[in-house]
Amino acid sequence: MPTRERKDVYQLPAGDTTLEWYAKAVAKMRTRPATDPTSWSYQAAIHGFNKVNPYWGNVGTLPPPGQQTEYWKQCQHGSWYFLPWHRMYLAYFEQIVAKTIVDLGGPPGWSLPFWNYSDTNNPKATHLPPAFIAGTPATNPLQMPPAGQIPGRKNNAVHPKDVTLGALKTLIFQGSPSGIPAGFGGPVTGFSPSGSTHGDLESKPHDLVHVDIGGAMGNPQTAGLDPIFYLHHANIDRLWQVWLNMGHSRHNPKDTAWLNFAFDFHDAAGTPKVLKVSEVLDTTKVLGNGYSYQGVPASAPVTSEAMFASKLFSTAPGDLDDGMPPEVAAATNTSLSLDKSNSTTSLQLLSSSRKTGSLHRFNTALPGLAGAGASTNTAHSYLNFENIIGKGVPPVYDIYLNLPDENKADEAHFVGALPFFGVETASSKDSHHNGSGQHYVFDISDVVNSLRESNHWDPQKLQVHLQPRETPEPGCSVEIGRISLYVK
Amino acid sequence: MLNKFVTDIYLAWKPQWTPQRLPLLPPHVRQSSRVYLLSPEFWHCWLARYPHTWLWLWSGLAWIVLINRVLERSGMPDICSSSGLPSSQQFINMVVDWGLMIIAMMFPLLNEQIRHVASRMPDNMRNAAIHWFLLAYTLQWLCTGLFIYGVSFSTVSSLTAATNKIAWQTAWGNILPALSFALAAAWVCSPMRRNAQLACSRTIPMRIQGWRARFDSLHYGVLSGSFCIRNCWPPMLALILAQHGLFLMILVASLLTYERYFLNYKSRALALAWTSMALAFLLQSIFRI
Repeated sequence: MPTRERKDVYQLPAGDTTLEWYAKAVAKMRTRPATDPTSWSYQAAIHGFNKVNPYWGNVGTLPPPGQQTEYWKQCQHGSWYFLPWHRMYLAYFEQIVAKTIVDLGGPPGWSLPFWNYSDTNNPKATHLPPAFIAGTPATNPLQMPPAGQIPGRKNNAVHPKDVTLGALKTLIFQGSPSGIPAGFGGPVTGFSPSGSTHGDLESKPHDLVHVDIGGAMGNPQTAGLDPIFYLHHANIDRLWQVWLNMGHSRHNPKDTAWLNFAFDFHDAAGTPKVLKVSEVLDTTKVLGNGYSYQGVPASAPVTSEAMFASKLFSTAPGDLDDGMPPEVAAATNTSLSLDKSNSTTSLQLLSSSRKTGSLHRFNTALPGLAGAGASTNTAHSYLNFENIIGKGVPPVYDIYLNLPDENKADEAHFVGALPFFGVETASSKDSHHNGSGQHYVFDISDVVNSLRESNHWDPQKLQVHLQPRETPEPGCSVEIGRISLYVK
Repeated sequence: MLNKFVTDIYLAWKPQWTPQRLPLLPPHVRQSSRVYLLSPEFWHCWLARYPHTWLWLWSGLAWIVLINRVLERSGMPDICSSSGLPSSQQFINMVVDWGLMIIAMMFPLLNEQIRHVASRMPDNMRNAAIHWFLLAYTLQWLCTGLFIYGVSFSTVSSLTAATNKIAWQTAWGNILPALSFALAAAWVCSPMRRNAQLACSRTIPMRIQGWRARFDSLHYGVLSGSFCIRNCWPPMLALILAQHGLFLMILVASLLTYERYFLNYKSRALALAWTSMALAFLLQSIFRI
């Protein structure tokens, strides 16, 4: 069987039946009991599950607790396993859907399409593909059914500024274990269903697309119930390959801890399977025949020898990185509770105790020196939101620095958006989470440099403004343990 | 002179690492040709990058002192050895040994916590914060240990008062450790242990100025100590009941460290190891080895 090609859902040719058969398979899988590993419920619960969540109201009989512990609620977030785990998850899901389609009399070799919401050549890219919003949940299996009065989705489009691809500029896959910086694929962790800092690609676009669509998609415990979830993750998986193909020292980790980490799934026959990270790095070999993405060459993983040679002879700036951790330059003394109004908090910048070091260089950097290609005085700065705990599904909060008018958003001061995807899960203390909450890191170097150049920088303090995009739902709350500034 | 000598050896060993490309040093330090490996700047950079060096340093020192004390006294203090109250010297020895044992065995398990403290604190407070954390962590274990000693002491005293001490030790001396290692094996497989294991990597927001920074370091140390006790109490209890044989301590410490850094969270290898040790004690008890 040849390698399958996962196609752009917006570029499927007229008369293509990919989505038609996907809908039929979804409908069929929804009829299977949650105890069946090939059922829709079981597949969604592998990502996340909460019996009391209204979207899980009709789940029916559950598998034995031991099986739930082993296979359910396994999604990896805030971790360097985020990308490989979701790749494995999609591969088995695709296999199960493809077999269901064949069982229904459909064509063999079905492959999962991807939703490229970042395609600037497609004016409709940020909107859900029409097949997912046509008809009603009763007539179209690709719609997300409501849970009582709660709609299946809140929006049919994502915000254009939430799907920009700044993450692709990050050169290093794994973030520092402390999460600062977070890296392209997330920080070094153990098994982590939600624990640590969200990596650059995970924060944006991944998390923001989840919360922008909202409804079941807004919560990791229910996201897998929405058929669009899998197209969204196919796109995230595609971006991983896009990032690798960009070269310039971009490569996957070579740590054996990462390569040998294994996860449990079920295949299309319902048989338990174990996959190692090292087995999914080449997309053309995943589960045998593998797959590639339309318009994205699938390159074989870089070997250790080739990487060593490229590092030895490379003169890229990243190679001269000293590996020194970023230094904290400011931090709040109290936690910050967010509500429906705008919040502003002030961070007192530390003075450097030494005549050398990151903090000293940051404090003495002059306006005009910063920017691309600037001198060695250029400092990287990171805004860090730590130990975020909360309840419910909070709205997205936009972050601004040193706004002249607190009530007026100014894009020159915009540094990013806090999605809080899965904050409730990350706040709980159970067999999958330790209750530390979430962490988000934003590289704010460009904004800091431009604020310095435009005389909006105060060397004594930094004002951080958080503005909710919409009114929080009743019963939802967010508390940020610490906001800090790190420099390097 | 010594600095230059060490640096020359280092550069001879790694000729591609000229002072300008020394991987551990930030660019401004590398640019100075007068930087040597024993300079405070080098160690400042080293400890910033590898804060867990402190853990291995203290742990190593504690092992050396422990081994030395064992050789001097030809054995660890035995809480079951006396049917009366321990003398003040015995009590101090017990506290010191227990403290050393915690530092030697438990510090290597604290990489994640130390990284959290180090990354959250400003440059000039990093090392102090790490030590406030370690102090609180050790005190937490010390208090728990003393409590366990107290309970064990009163239980064993009342039992040995009622029966012949030697007969009691012959009957129970190996059964209790066997039971507690079996308990440790069961604990590894229990869902509660998974929660306890996850709690070990819990973090808290830390403030960075003045007394608040010290308070948060202490608070995090106490918190981590309590999580650690929750996670590791069965093998430590087994060690107490097995009367702290030095070889056993090294074995248990190695197994705990191996599990922490090399085993998958689903692995049952540690349960297998504890079961083997339970069986070893059981066989010892049966055959009076």
